[in-house]
Parts: sequence; structure tokens; C-alpha cells
Amino acid sequence: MRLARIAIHRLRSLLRSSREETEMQQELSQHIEQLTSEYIATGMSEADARSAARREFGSVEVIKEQCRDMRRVTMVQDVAKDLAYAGRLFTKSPGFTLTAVLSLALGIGANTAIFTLVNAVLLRMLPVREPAELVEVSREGGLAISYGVYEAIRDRNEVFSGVLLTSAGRWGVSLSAGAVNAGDIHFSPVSGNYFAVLGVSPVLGRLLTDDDLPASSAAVISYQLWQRVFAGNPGALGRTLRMGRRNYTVIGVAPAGFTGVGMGQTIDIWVPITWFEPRYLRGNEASMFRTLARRKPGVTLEHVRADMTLIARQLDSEWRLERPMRLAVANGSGGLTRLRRQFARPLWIVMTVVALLLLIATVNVANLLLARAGARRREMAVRLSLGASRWRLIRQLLTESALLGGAGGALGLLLAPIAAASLVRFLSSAMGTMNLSLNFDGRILAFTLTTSLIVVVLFGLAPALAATRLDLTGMFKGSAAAGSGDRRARPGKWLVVAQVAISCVLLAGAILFARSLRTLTHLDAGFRPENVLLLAVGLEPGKPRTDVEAVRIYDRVVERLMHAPGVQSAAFSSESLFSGSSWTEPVTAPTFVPQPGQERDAVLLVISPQFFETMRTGLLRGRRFDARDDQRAAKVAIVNEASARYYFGDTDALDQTFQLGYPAGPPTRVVGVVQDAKYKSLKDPAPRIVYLPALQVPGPVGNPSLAIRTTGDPQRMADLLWTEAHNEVADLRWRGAGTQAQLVDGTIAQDRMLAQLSGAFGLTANLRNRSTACARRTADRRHSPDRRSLHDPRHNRRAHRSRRGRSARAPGGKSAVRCPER
Amino acid sequence: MPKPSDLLQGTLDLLILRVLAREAAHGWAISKRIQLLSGDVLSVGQGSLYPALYRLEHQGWITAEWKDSDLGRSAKVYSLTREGRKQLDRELKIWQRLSSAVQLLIDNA
Repeated sequence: MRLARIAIHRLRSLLRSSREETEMQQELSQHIEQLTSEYIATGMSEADARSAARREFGSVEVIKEQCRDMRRVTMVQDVAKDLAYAGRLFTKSPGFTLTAVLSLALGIGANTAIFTLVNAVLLRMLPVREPAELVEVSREGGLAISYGVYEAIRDRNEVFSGVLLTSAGRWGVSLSAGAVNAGDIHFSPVSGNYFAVLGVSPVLGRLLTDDDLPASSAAVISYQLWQRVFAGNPGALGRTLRMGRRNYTVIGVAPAGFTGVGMGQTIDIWVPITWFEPRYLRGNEASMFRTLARRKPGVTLEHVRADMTLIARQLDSEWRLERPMRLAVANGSGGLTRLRRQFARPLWIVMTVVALLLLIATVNVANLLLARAGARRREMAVRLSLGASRWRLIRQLLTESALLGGAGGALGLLLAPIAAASLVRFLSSAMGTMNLSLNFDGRILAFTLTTSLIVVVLFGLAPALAATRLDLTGMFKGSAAAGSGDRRARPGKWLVVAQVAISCVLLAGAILFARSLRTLTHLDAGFRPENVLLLAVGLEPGKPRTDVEAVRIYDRVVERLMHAPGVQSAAFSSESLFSGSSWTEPVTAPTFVPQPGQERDAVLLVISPQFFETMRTGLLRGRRFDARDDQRAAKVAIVNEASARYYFGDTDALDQTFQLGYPAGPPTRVVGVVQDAKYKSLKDPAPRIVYLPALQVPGPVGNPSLAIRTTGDPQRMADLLWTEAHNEVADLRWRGAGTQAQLVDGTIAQDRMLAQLSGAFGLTANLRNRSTACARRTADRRHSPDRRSLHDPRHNRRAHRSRRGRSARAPGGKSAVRCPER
Repeated sequence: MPKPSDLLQGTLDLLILRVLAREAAHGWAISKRIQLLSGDVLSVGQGSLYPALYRLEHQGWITAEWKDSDLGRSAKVYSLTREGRKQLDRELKIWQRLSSAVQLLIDNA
């Protein structure tokens, strides 16, 4: 009640201040009249009585001011006055205002944009029940786990209330529902308890359970897919979805915000884990799963780690593993951690860079304000001398800063979503497609507000302190330095130092990133990626044919392509270099006695005879594959230098025999040694690679990658060469096209992105230094009437009038201050 | 005659609240009554009275209204609110404790 009354009272004081003023005047003059009539009653003349009454009453204005103070709304009124005054000042120097607001807007906008990404990638929690209880258990280094490991964790742990399993990645497939072709979607096979462990409830129907596993025909669709394909129709339940070659029945719809547990990897359909062939769902063979587990209440991460270490030891002794199994435990509140780990480093780097950029913008604006502060010393001095407190003036100056910062922040907030969206496109092109929901949430708003506030205090405080630290005596004696010239210079100098220092850091960073990028792009990869077109192909199913027959068909395709115009040579292989996937097998050789725990695997690549010629990988010894190396001939292989050194040591690898696989396969003879070629990454040393002839190992080349070295731009020849190949073999199926250079580039995209971003920002920072230096000089020139006034008083008068003519009433003192026109 | 500044801190509020507790009044009447009821011992200067009135109103203990008055025209008349009455009780208790303590000290020192 009292609060309400107070609120109404204060609001009224605020809104009807002019009426309050009149009432106050009226009340006080009534009092004076009463006093006067009392004096008249004692026999004074009216004039004497009036003056006596006035004497007794004292200064009406002082009392009024005291009354105003009592109302305590002066603060708000002052702020409003300050804002209006600041607004007038800024509209009078649009150049300064534009420079300041724009550089702040860019800085704050860039920071908000990057923070939006950081928020989406690193900070956001899964929209599930109690996400903080979730942990991810993976093999050391964040590697995927096998089904056997999952079973062990699920059945033996003492710390989890539930453990779910999901495929390590998502699968892409084209989807059709009845006659409707729904295009390409992503799905993920998951365990029966997936939704139960996450604590997600369906918006329609039901979610997967363990009972769905044997039949493997039930599917849960995402809310987005439900809207897109079924237009949100409840009749979607029970509909049949054709995914590739398999049929699934829709049993339920997941809630709107839920898109799976992998950051940036949106899932449209969840199917039972039994989508995998049974051989993957046992033992420790295939590490292609990931697991999230929900901690029991009160269990810490340390408990979980101890328990997982125990289980890993048990598995070691039971499975007699060559290398000890180590299980890593990570916070799973944001879902699976692999992608987050991958993105974390570049994101934090970029965040730091834009934060520095904002700091430079801040320093710039501070510098500009400082220049203005110098020019406004006289105004400050007048107000101080009329009784305004220094704090009051600082408040005025900070209000001006806040207005700038507010405008910059608001503009930045408008820019941020656009910048964030284009950054995601940039990142996606650099690091694989991401579907990030860049929702604007409270955290982002809080971030922007805090940033703007910090920025305002940073750039506002120093100039405000400098402007109000005045030696009034000196000022009014008209001393040349006008009291504070040297003091003003000090923060200014520091600001310039800071500005240059930060710019240098940014530039140095940019140069470092650019250098490491240059090193990577000029590295000898062991093959020549330029001008190589990659065509991923297959054969239309239907005709029964053996693997060898398929290889013969691809041989024909390659033969035809080699004679096409513009083609230097062509080959095919089981995988293209830098595709990211690899097939490894352990190697057994008489010369190679592995220590316990020593790595035995080599990367296997099945190739056609022309592969090395096409990729320009040099043959060091022996021979290439040729038509003799077919299925009837003795098994042969070509090894790279790394393999030769590793498995055969000092002995000449040529004509040595070894066996592949576990248990070991037939003896294979080395017929050639080639130079090392990078396989997955330019940064890592070349792995041990064993090349096998396609005719002897035809299985892995069922869907090969054609590599075609062209004389011109390979991208532009893709259609032409595909038609050529298709004319040769009508059964040929298109699976995709790209260039070898693109694949290699993709692996250094992160470095390229960092180099580009830091380069752009570093350049911006330095250009901006230049531009504000100019702006500051201009501001100095425009705003220093004092200096010239010493010689030319007329000039000073004019300057004053033009600067303050309209805004004569400046807030500052308790009563309005009128700037004198000298 | 003691000046208002000689009054103990907070006593002016007590005086105003006590005067208004009897009946609503405008500023002039309040100052007259304080003088009258204290047997011409206490006089409140205008420089203290009006700021105090504004402060009390701001705190919600008194409320003001423009009414016809004995001055022959409409004047700003102050009256006590319910909260103001409670505040008066509090201030009275404090005052009584204070004055009896001072008296005790004077008697026994």
C-alpha cells in the first residue's frame, strides 16, 4: 500500500514536474503572505511587512531546491536531461557520432555473432531432462566405442541410472513416404532405451523401446520432418517410410526442440540399433558407436571415471587386448563431444580475435572522446565553478558514453544474426555441414548488454575523469595550458599505446596463421592434387555379377576415359586420398616382431594399375601393378617407404613376403616401393600404406572412386567425363564428384579460415587506427577554440555561439546553468 | 529560541507527524501549531519545514491535497496516512527512550 502510494507519488513528480513546480511556488508564496499579514497586524506598513517576511523566510529558490531534492526524482530527471543534452551534442557532430557508433556496432556485432556460435556449439544444453546428469563415455581421445564396450558399461557400471547407445555418425538416405519423395534425410540407429535415458517424451504416438529391437521396423521421426512431410498431420502414425531399401513404420514424433544428441548433426529419423547387421552388435570388432549415460543422483564425474577405469581393466584381461583399453569420461550435458571438441579451438581463437577488435574499437572511441573532452574543458570549468559537483559532470559524460554504447550495441545486435549466419556458412564450408540452430536467447542478450556496458565504462571513464580534472584557478586566469593540457595528454598517450599494441597482436596472429597455412599449402604431399577429378561411381544393382567382373567393367571405363580429350591419365581406387575414411589391417612379416602394445596396422588401398601415374606418386623401386596381377596370379603388393621401413627395417623390402589380416591371410610379395604420400592430413606424417591390385582384392572396389588427371580445370570437365564414362558402361551409377584439390583443401580449411579471419580483422584494426587518427586530428582542430581564442577573442565568441547557441541550458549544476557568452 | 538545526536529528519529523495526527493542516498552520503547542519554545524555520514535508510525503507517511482552507483560498493540506501513524508510534517510542535516557544521565551524573 505504502509502496504503491510512493510509486504513484514519484511517478507523478516525474511526469508532472512543471505542475509540481507551480504548486510549490504557490504553497511557498502563501506562506510568505501569511507572514506578511502577521507583520502588518503588528503595525508595520505593507511594504515593510513584505520585506520583513521575505527576510524571515529566506531564499525561496534554495528552499525549492531542497524540496526538489527531497523528492529524489532528480536522479531520473537528471538522466533524462543528460540524455537530451547528449543527443543534441551528438546530432551536432554527425561525423564523430557516426564513426563512434559504427565502430562500436561492428565490434559488438562481431562479438555477439561469434558468441551466438559459441553459445550454440559449446554452451547450449540438450533439451532433455536434467542434461547436467549426462556424461559421454568414449575411448581415450574421444574415439568411438564398440558394441561390446557398450554392453560392458551398461551391465557392469555402478554409477549410471541408464546408458544409451547411438550410431557414431548419422546416415544420409533418400526418403519416400508412399508416393511422396521427401528427399535426403539423416537418420541414426539408437538403442531401445535412447529416449527413456534422455527423458524425452513424444508429442505424438510413442518412442522407441527395447521391444522394437527384434523387428527393427519402428521409426521415430523428428518434429521438423513431421511438419515438412506430413504437415503436422496426426495421421502420420502408422505410415510406412521407405528409407533406401528398407521400410519403417512411424510410431511417434519427437518433441520440437529435440534433434538428436550430436551438435550440428540434426537427426530426422531414429530407428532401432538393430538396423546394423548383427555382426556389428557384438564383441569389440566395430568401433562405430557412441554412448551417453545418465549419472545416478550424487555421483560425481570422479566416481564415474573410477568406475570406467575398473571396467576398462576388466575388458583388458578378458579380451586380451593388444593395447590397453582406456575409457574417457566427459560432460555430456551438451550432447556428444566430438564435434564440440573439434570446433572449440577455432571458436575460442576467433572469439579472442573479435574481443581484441572490440577493444580496439573501444580505445578508438575513447580517443575521440578524449579529443572532445579537451575541447570541452571550458564548458566543464564553467559548470564546476557554478557549483556542479565533479561526480555530476562525470555522470553527464558517462551518459554521453552510454548513449554511444547503447546505439552501438543496438546496431550490433541487429548486425549479429546476419554475421552469425554467414559465419556458419563459412564454417560449414570449412568443416563440413552443420545444422546449428542460432536461436537468439537470453544468454546472447545478456552477453551483448554486458559487453556494451563494459565497453561504455572502458571508453567513457578515462575521458570523463580527464575532462573533469581541472585546475579552475588556472583556467579562469586564462593560462595558456588552460589547467589540464598536460594531464589530458597522459591517458591519450596510453590509449594510443594500447591501440597499437593490440593491433600488433592481431597482426602478428594473422601473420602466424598465414605462415602456417603457407607451409601447409606448399608441403610436398607425395602426390599432386591439382587437376585431378574424382568421380565416385557404382554399378546399378540388378544384374548378378562377381566382384572381379565389376573390376573388369571399371577397367573398361578407365580405359575409355584415358583416351578422352583433355585427359592425361585415369585410375580407380577403393578410396580417394584425403577422403577421410580408411581401411586398416594388421601386418605380419618375418622381419617384424612387434613389441607388446606396438602398432601393427597398415592402411590398405586397393588400386588399378594406373593409380600412381595418375596421382604422380613416384615409384622408387620395383614395378607398378599391371594386367598380370590378376586373381589367378600370386598375391602381390606395393608398399610405401613408411611401411618398408616399419615392417622390413634395414632389409630391402622388395621381394619380401608378408601376411595381412587377423588371422593372417595368404603370403603376399612386395613388388614395388613408392614414395610416401599423405593420406588423411597434411599435418600428420604419411601413414604406412600397403597398395593392393584391384583384380586380386576386388571386394573393396565395388564402389570405387575414379581419379582422372585432366589438362584443364577438372571441375569443368566433370559432366563431360561422366557422360563419356556412362556411354561406355550404361550400368554406371553416379555417386558424386569432386576434385582432389578440394579434398586436400578441406583438411586445412580450419587453418585457412583462421588465417582469413585473423587477417581480415588485423587489417580492419590497423585501417581503423589510421582512420580514427585522422578523425581525431579533425576533432582536435574543430574543437579547440581555446587555443586560438588567446589571440583572437572574436573567434572565440563565434565558436562559443555556434557550439552552444541552441543548447544554452546545460544540465549540471543543481539549478540550470547558463553558459555565459563572453 | 532554538533554531531548527538545534533540534535533535529526526525530531522535526516527529513534531510534524504528531501535529498532523490531531488533524490535517497546511504548512503555515503546522509551523504555527508547533510554536503554539510548545509554548513558544520551538519554532520551525521555513527552510526546514517544507523540505521535511516533501520528504515525509515522498516516504508515504503523509499525503497532500489542495483544499479550501481558513486562509481564504485553496491551500495544500497535509494529512497523516496509515503508515504515517505507525511511523509516529515508532518515533514516539524512540523519543521516549531517548529522552528518559538523557534525563537519567542528567540526574545521575
